[in-house]
Amino acid sequence: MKTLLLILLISFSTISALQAQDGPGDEKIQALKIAFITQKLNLSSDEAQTFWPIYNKYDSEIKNIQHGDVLKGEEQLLNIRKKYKSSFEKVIGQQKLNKLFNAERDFRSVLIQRLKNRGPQKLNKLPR
Amino acid sequence: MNTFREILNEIRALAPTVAPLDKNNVYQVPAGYFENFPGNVLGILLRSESPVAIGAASGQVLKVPEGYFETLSDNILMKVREESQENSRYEIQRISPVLASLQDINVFSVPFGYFDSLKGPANRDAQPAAAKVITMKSRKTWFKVAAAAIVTGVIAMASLQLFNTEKGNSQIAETVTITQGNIASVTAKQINDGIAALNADDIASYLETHGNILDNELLIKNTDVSELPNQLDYLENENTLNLYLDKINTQVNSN
Repeated sequence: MKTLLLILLISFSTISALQAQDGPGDEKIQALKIAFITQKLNLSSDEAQTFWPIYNKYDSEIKNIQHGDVLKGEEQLLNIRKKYKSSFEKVIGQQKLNKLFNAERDFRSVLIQRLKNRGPQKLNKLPR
Repeated sequence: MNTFREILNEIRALAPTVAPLDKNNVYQVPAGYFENFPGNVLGILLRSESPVAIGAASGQVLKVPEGYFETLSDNILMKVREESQENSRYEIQRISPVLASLQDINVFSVPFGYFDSLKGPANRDAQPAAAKVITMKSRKTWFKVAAAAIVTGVIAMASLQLFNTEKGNSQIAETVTITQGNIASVTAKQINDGIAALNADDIASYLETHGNILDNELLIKNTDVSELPNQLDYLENENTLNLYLDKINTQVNSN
């Protein structure tokens, strides 16, 4: 009986974890983000193959930053960027690294602008 | 004397025939009757040929054989046993001939020397075999079926979710490959068209799950300020700010 309950608990936890992952909308936007950054940085094929695995790790760490404390959050973001700076520079160089941060900001800006036009109420409910 | 007369009168009343009789002994024997009485009786018996008279005549009257009383008790018991056995057999035969045909023989017998072949140590070594324990299984089969169905459903749902997730990831990878492989052909217009095709829910969901701390500045810049109170409103009503905040809260709650 205890084993059965344990199996059920693990199964439900697995489903919850899977459901908590990105939905189809997120995947579509993520693909657009990759295309957007690729175009902005003008990455070559060799650069892209090395760059994206590093960027994905970098992006997942940024995604985990908590929004509760603004100063602490900004500090964590800065530390993550410092941590990956050398890795990025080895692949794309300093100039494209600056473009990368600007491209990230621009892409998000486009999304926010788009959301402002489509659903301003949803924009006000975003975490800050 | 009075008593005698009363008795006499009572007798006269009861039996008038007896009352006048005199009190004389009417039973008399001839003279010398008892003197020859034994000889006369014996003579009568001899004439009747009675065994007692014959024994008496031969001088053996009231005599028993020698040692008769010494074996008398045994003889009596033996005779009683013989008679009782004969009687019981006869009775059983009369009541149930089938039972009577059965003889009183012990049918439960073992071969000769059977117990001699049994050895003590062998008997001591022979341990009783352990009883086989059969566990009674629960009869709640419906519960097992329901549990199996739930587990199967959970596994199926988990597999489906995992499959869809892997499929989604492969779609991203495919998009990346296409982007990398056709980097020259992906134009800004195509990207803008893709962003324009996004709906507000997808964008809001993405910004929530992929929130960046630097979005705060962008969000503040893009806040709709068209409905903010102007300076005159604050001068006319000191609760203007509170009213505006209440209005925002109402809109947020209604959404």
